Amino acid sequence: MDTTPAERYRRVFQSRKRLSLIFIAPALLYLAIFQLYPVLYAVYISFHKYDLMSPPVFTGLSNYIRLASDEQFLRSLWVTAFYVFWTIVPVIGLSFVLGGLLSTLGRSRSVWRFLLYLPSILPFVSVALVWKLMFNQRGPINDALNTAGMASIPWLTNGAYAPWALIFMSWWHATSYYTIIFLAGFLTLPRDCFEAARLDGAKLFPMIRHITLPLMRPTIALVVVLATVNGLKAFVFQQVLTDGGPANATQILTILIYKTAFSYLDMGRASTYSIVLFGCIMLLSLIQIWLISGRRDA
Amino acid sequence: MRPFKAINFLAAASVAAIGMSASLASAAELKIWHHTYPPAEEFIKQKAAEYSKLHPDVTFTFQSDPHGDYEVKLLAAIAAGEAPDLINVLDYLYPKFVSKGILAEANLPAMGVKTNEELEALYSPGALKGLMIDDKIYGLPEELNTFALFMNKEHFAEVGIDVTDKANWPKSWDDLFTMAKKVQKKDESGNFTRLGFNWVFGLDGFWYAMEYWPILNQYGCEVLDSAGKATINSPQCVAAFTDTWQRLVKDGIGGPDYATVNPVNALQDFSDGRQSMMMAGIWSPPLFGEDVKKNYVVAPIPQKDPANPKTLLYNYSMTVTQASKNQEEAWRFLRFLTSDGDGYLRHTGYVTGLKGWEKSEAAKDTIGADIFADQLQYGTYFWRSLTWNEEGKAIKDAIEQMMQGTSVQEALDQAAKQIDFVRSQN
Repeated sequence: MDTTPAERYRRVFQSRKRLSLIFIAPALLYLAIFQLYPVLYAVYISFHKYDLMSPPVFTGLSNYIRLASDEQFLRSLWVTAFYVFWTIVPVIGLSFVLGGLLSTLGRSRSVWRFLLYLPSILPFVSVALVWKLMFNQRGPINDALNTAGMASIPWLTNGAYAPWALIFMSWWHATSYYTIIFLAGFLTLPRDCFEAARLDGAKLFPMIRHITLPLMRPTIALVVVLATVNGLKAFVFQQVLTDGGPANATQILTILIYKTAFSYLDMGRASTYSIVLFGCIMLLSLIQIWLISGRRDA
Repeated sequence: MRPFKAINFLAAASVAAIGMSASLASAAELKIWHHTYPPAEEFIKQKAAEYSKLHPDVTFTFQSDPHGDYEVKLLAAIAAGEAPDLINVLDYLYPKFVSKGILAEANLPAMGVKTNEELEALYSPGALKGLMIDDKIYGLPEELNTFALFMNKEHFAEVGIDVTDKANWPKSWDDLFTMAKKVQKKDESGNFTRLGFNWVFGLDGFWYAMEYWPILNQYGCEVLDSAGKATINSPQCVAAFTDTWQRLVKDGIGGPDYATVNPVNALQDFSDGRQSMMMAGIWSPPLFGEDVKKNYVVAPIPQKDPANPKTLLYNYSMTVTQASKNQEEAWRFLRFLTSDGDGYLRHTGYVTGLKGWEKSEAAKDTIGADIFADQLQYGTYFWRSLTWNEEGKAIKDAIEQMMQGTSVQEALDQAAKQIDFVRSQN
């Protein structure tokens, strides 16, 4: 009853395949129940009128068609884009520089790394409450401005300043997280490339441009995608500091979704907004990955 | 002998089990949800304890959340099948809540009355009106209210105005802003150290509505016309907001930049003595700081046409949910709770609207009770709509835009457009 090597291989392969399926089944089940099902259900609800109290009523594409004339939605889309752009561009630059500087440190690196990472491990709500006090009309930031002979700024009560207050706060919070990712990237760079360049007399900026940046491209791609996704998903800071106000100046899409769903009980419209947000995240992520990684490979 | 014992044991156990299940069946746990207002929370808990003494099988749990969060959490709980038995609901939400089957119709026998008329006869005229849909009563008033003007007499004494003398009370909005300018204080850098007057800012749409509704009424401004179309951008509405909200900023009297935003105490600036005048309900004094508690007077709100006074009427009611498994017991407790009008007024500052409340001992001890009783006669409830929250938010947004320099007409045009859009979706 000797079996051929091909049969033996097939049997082992099949039993391994079965075993691996058993191992990944719990994770797949979790993803299906808690990730896939809610997404599919949101898509389903977006074609309905649904107030949580009575059964959903099919309305076809009407929720999507109304988006074009929904000023709250269009405004929120713009507010979100503004917030994401002004948050991620400076944060990525700052984190990159800080990560690079940290990588050059010796024994003190771990202390700095801990201090820099601290904002990321604090609860979002606590951080937001502290910043709310700092931005208060009679808070320490305005006190400092007054001491410097400047007038107080209505950080959270004026639509011209409130978006910037949230952006400044997000810089502080997000930089710490992405710095650590960049630091990990910098520490994996091969030193011999830099040493060879130095021996050839290369200066700092050409070295950054021609060696550091190309080698760091996968890390940059990761950070850009993560920062964009996290920026689009932001909620807590806006909710705690301004609740989307004043006059919707900080009403990003997630706040609009929350209000439409739970204050106005319009789950259909809220799901439609969510699907649009989901599409934006997906599209932007794919474009960024293609631009930073895919195009290089091509 | 042994089988006999076993049978006896089983019989005894069965009787005990039946007895236990019977006692469990009659036991009721009533869940009460209320917006955060510590004096009311304490009072309701005290009354619940009294009720439990009279009915040992009834127990209570209590939860409170600040007004803005309260409604969101309540709706989420109801949708999730976790509805409390007794809830605190504002009158303008009744059309929406009743249409969605959230509220139970009043159980009259449980409250010891036979007809709606009999129940209405226990209250001041119109007190139950805001809680009725199609002639059916769905709740009882816990806080029947209107707004009056609170003034800090010590602040005014400093500038030589005796506000304990009625003759010095502001009669018109122009008087109010003139007095506000006289009493306000600034430091050498030009920052306010004391505001003369300010509107409430940074809170939910209901808070804004409590302040603009009396003024809209006085100016003949309607939020919606009879066909349900937005008219918040009418000339009357533009004039109302121009003469009051926009004037506040234009004259450098106040604005959102100077207001302390505190969802638990929306009147923080007046309560702490940083503001000399404010509009609020009779419930507000328990929130005042000790200094302010000794130094305030209550006056009617200014009027555009004093011969034809108009103001706000609202009802923060208590009601029973349709989902409650103990509806009868809940109504019985609600009647027990709200019939203690004196206790409510003394401990919480709430007027339950029971007939003759203004002549009670508690009312005699309450500063300004006579003013509130008088003002309640001229009050009207907010406009009724299934999408009130979104419409209120649109007007709130318009006010915030005006405060930042957008013209009143433009801001109200946007609000009207938004209201029409929201209504077209329903």
